Amino acid sequence: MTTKQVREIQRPRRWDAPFSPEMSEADVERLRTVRPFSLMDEAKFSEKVPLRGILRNDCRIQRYDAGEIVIRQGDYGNSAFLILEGTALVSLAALPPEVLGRAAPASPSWLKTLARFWNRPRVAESRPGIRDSLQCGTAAKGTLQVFLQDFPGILAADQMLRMDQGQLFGELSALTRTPRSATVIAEGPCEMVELRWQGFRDILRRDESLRRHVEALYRKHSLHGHLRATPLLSELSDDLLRRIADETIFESFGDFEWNRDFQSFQADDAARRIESEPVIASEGDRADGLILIRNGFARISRRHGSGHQTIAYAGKGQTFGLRELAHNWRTDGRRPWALSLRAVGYVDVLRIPQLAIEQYVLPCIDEALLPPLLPETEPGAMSRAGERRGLPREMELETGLLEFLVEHRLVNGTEAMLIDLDRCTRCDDCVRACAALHDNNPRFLRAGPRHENWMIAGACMHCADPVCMIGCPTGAIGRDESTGTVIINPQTCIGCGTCAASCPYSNIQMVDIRDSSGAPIVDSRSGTPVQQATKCDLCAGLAGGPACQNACPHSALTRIDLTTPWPLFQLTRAAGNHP
Amino acid sequence: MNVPRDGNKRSWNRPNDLWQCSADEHSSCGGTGLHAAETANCLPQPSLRLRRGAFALACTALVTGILVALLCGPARNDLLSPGPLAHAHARMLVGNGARKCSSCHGAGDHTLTDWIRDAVSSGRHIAVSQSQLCMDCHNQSLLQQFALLPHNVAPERLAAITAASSRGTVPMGLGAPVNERGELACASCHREHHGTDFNLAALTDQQCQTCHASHIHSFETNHPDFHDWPVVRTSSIRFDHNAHALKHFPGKEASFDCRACHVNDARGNVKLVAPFEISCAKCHSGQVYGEESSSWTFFQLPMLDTAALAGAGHPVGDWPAACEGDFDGAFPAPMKLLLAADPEVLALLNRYGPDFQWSDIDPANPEHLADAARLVWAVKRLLLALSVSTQSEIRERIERALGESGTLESAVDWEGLVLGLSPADVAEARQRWLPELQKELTLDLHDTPGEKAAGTLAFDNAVFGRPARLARKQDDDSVLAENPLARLLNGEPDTGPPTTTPEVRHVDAGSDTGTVRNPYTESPPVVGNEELLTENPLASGAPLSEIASSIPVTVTASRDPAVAKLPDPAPGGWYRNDRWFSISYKATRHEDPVLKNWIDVALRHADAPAVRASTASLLVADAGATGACLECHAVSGIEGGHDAFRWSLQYRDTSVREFTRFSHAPHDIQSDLTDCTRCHQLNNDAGLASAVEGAGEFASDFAPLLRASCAACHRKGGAPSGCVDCHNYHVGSKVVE
Amino acid sequence: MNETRRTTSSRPVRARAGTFRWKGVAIALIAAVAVWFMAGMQNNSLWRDGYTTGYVLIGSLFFLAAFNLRKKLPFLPGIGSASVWMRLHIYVAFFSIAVFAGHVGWHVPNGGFERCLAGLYVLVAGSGIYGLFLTRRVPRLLTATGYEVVFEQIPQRRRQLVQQARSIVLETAQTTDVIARFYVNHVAAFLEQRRSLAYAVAPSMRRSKALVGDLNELDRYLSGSQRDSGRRLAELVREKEDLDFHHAMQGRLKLWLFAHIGMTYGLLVFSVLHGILAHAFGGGLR
Repeated sequence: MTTKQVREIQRPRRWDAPFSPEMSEADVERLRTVRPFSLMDEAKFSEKVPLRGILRNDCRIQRYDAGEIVIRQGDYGNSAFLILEGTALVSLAALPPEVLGRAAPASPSWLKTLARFWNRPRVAESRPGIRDSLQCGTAAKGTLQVFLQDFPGILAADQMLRMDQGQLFGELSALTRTPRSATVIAEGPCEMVELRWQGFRDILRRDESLRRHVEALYRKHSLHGHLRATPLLSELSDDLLRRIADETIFESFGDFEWNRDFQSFQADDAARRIESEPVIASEGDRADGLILIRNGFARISRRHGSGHQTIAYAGKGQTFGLRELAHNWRTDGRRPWALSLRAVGYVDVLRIPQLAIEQYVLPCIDEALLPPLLPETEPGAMSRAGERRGLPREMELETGLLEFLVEHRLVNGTEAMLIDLDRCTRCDDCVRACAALHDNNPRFLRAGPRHENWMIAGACMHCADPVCMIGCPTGAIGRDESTGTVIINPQTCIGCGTCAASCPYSNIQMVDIRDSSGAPIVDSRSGTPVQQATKCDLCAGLAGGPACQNACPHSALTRIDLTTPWPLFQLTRAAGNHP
Repeated sequence: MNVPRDGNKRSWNRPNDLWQCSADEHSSCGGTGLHAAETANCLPQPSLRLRRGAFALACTALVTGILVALLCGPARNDLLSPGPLAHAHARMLVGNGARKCSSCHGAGDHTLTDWIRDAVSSGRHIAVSQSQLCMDCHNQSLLQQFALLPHNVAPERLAAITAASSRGTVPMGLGAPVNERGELACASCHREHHGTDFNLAALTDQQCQTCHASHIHSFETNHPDFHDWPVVRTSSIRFDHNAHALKHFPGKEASFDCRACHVNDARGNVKLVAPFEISCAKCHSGQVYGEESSSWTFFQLPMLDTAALAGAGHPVGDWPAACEGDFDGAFPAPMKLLLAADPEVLALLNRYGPDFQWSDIDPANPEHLADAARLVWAVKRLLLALSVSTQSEIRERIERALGESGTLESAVDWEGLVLGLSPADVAEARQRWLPELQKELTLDLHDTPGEKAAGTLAFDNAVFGRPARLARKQDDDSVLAENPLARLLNGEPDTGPPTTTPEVRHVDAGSDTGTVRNPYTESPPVVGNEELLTENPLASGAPLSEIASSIPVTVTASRDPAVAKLPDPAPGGWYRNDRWFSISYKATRHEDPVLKNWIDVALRHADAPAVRASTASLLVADAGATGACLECHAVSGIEGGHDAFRWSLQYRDTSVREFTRFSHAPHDIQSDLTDCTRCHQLNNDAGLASAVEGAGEFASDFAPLLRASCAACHRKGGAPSGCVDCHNYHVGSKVVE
Repeated sequence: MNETRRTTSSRPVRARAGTFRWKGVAIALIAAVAVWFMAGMQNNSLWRDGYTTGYVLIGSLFFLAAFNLRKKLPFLPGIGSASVWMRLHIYVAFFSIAVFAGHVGWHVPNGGFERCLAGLYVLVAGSGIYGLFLTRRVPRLLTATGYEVVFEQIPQRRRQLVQQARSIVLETAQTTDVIARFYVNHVAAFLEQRRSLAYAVAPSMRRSKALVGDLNELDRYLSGSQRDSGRRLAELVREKEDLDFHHAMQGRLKLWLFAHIGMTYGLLVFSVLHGILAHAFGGGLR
């Protein structure tokens, strides 16, 4: 093949694109004077990622006026905040979106799309607009600047929580990749330092005190709200809730970066795979408390023959074990767990001790709402039907399909591409539609794990727990704040391949980028081709949803939320594949 | 399942690319050869979509190419034709392949571009419309003026008809596809290219109802009733079906059968009345020219009070003694007409009014006497003139009297007026009546009345007193012997056809048995007329044998002694009556030329000034034989300002298409219809007079024809009962056989 | 903590669009009957009903053809999802077939040109119906194989198979020539050559089954590791079978689309010309 003339640029690296260009040495100095930064020991930090470097590149100082919203409940924040000056208010109650001025996703005009379609590059993965040196595109103080008029009026005093100088907040989302749990409004003019999570994580790894501080914070703020959000506890008074919170045990199971050994894990034998999953509650053990899944996914299984049969899976916000507890409380019995709960990947759980439940919770629930008593049979010999009766009906998915979803950790997906092979004529219209919207570069593979006639194609599932975001040095991969779609920002992607490597479903592809002429772009230093991570962006902002789904003539292809079995159940039943 | 070989380093497959690189590692290069590793070799292959695109393009190009080729090729017409034409058109177009389309389609010899422009300009581009081309051939059978208008009739006429019918014709549904001028394309009804046997004229009842909104479900249910059709048509013949059916025929061996008199015309559409000889002669020859027929006085000398005249100093010269007495005697209409030629006489007559008679002369009044004398001399001159040249004289005088010389040329048959009356005959009369006349007039001896008186004395008185016809019955032979035309007649073969030429008859004075003492108390023609009028000519119903023998074979018949015994029918012809000093005429046959001509002449001038008018009307209403014509023939209609005598019957004209058509022929063959009475019922309480033209109030002697009687057969499942089975769409054009 | 994250579960769950719907077809046919009625009324009023049915027909033709356009421009807003288009495509197609029957008056046209036009229409409509059957049937057959491959990648997958097979054979060749012989004499032809046309028409597993059987038969001449190679070879043969089956079936689907679309354009050209002729030679009034 004829060698094309080659274009050279500086290979981008971490901190090529600082969080905010305005950060000056002076600012760093200032931060070093305030807690907790003043307490930190620079020696603990590696010279590759020094504390000052983090403060310089992963932090920025933001100023807010009275009533301005700092973070909105439900947003996907990638950063934690620390109040330098002034006070801020946390609303415990959910605020209506219009009050929060939540903007609908800006969809590109179809004329633009059309124009873009007509003069789409003939060359694969060309990046005409690429600059000599990539730099961070995230503007100082994000686009959002919404004010809350007379917020005292909107927020009742008892629903507000005041935070003042030195307070850390927003850390939870930054660490667990969960949406903001509450809205924070600047009470008066105030100044805050914002740490993006890459930096924040580094600091935590090095600094013990801060880590404990964060934990304490969680118990103080978020836990209350979290418990409140749990249906079972929503009716309780704040006082009771606070007591429960105090007694709640905060546990986490599995590896935070479970995806690293997922591939090798997959190769392992099914039985041993289950065995290797960390047990949260084991069938036959004493039912010692109500388990609340705060984050991640857990497999609900029961012993079957010499192995374990998956009956259901539980996701964020779901509880486990109420049935046993209620049974024991009412019959004063000693029934153990009827089922096992196992961590699939990384799971945060809250364990509310049996005593607390019996003391505060069960008395407040009327008989009718309590789950039925367990059947009077020997544990382990219970009929599957008996098991089933205790479960919510959407759990009644075909076991094979369940196992399939859980084994492949597909339950993580909120926008998984599900193809009904019994209808798919393999016409590849979906791929074409996708390519048509992405400069003729398809962003998924019509191939992937399949169970019977169901195939989960190789398109980004926009996971509830997006492990791909772990370790992105520039934050180029992030969540769209309003939709939760995981998007890679080509302006800031440096092609390190971390995300692609960490995606357990290998739905992120590293591609060699080219300029418009088709000449490969190579790094001026190493001379190796520069790559970028590409994946499905759910046709960000395209009206009417992703093109692939709309392009399927036989509606064989669906983007589906697998975090709960319900949609899939509906679909399979509609497709007549349910027994 | 194609698990990528190198984990996340696999690249997307790009089905959108028109070229695919089939080199294993580089399915993403899109055939551009832009591989990451420059060493790898690219195997570009056209993608499926590229191939499909090419294929589709090829197909389209091929089809288009073929079409264009065909449209430009010679076989174009045959290919574009959507189907074979109906017989007639196909036959017409055999041979001229090139013009096949263009002879009916304006677009036929245009190009594709013209067609397109025509289509987009909604048919404005190609000027000539198909209907116009239709007209190029169908210009005989259709009125070009209204060819494309509904029913081919003038809009105003159609509007009138529409208004007349109580059932409005507001189009329902979509309405007819007419253009702004209210025209319909031929093709909207006549749809071609549906095969050789396709009936182009076929039109469904619903299609008729496109415009005829008042919904006619079927003929038998709610088709409008006939308003006394067809009996509304009056007849120019006074024929009372009732009377014949009920009074006259019963008792005769001949039954009253419609078909005896009514026969089909050539097309079998219309029932014609058989000629007089077949239909009427059997019974009615008598009244027309038989013995029952009366004679028509042409010329007559009046009775004069010669003494009074002489006394008043107005001698009339030579005058038969038999004609002396009080002023009296008829003044025959023709004579008056001929006299009126003399302006002076005309003025005179005008003075005395239209119905002047000699008896109007008052002997005591000197003026009257003077006028009388003038008249007498005029009469004498007329007699002389006629005796010199009859035909030319009459012609001349009539033309003068009616003041339209030349114009009558064509109209009047001059020979016909005096057919068979030769000057010689008139001369003979003159000799017998006024032997001195010629001398008198030539010498002009007005002042020697004495001689005249003397002359007149010599006249044999005995001759007079008996009517000629009776006398002749007495002794034929003598009559024949004295017949001045005997030699002419003898020259004819005995079995010769009945002569239509009337001959002059000399009535012998001797063979007269007087019945009436004073003949001048009433004038014989008038009597005869009265008789004719009062007595119904058919009442007596003469025996057929008599009627048969009454056809004027008179001469031969009368020469045979055996026949002489029979009551001899009076043969027609000119008569000189020496007793009444008159020349009269008797019809020789039906449609007698003489009488017919005189009546025509007369009627032609009904609009003439007073006297002429009177003469004319008199001529027609004459008590004589002409009246007999009126017995059956009605005066009717106005032709060019004149009354016309409709000698022949008027029939439906089936040569022109009308809205409704009917033909007897197909009905005749129906066994149960052969007797016409199935449809034509006599209306017994209708009078005769009213059924005739000119009579004011019309009432047919037939009961109206009811739709029910048609619907008895023409109903669903029976005889055809569609709109177009009785109705024509194209109206007013000549029927093409 | 209640999250405001859009999830697919919030979208209405689709009904089974892939299945053939009698209700829709019934509606289409009823609509066609309505058109017939209209045409009948016009005919009774001396109008040329041909124009009505003709325009309806050509209109539906263009709508049906527009389906392909929609596939090419997937990002246009508000044009509806392809599945809706597909359904409409099917219903309108049946509708047009009924209208077509009325348009030609239930008999073969007489004219040469019109014969071609009608013939083309019948071909396209026929291929459409066949395609309807195909798109319902083939996917299940493909799924039944339990194998998946993208059509465009079949050739390279073939090559890979051959390479893998050869490498297996080569490594066995060092110890025994049984497999090598068998490969050369029987397997090579199957793995390295395309399948016959007969197979494309009526695929059968006879050949591969026989080969696999024979490969198993070889066991009696092979030692443990060699047997394992035999198994792997058999595996490749099975995959080749699946690959060929997919090639045949997916190819059939693609080929059908070739015909269906290819003829469509010809039909459009024809019918447009037909319409122009109908106006130019319509015999109306100017």
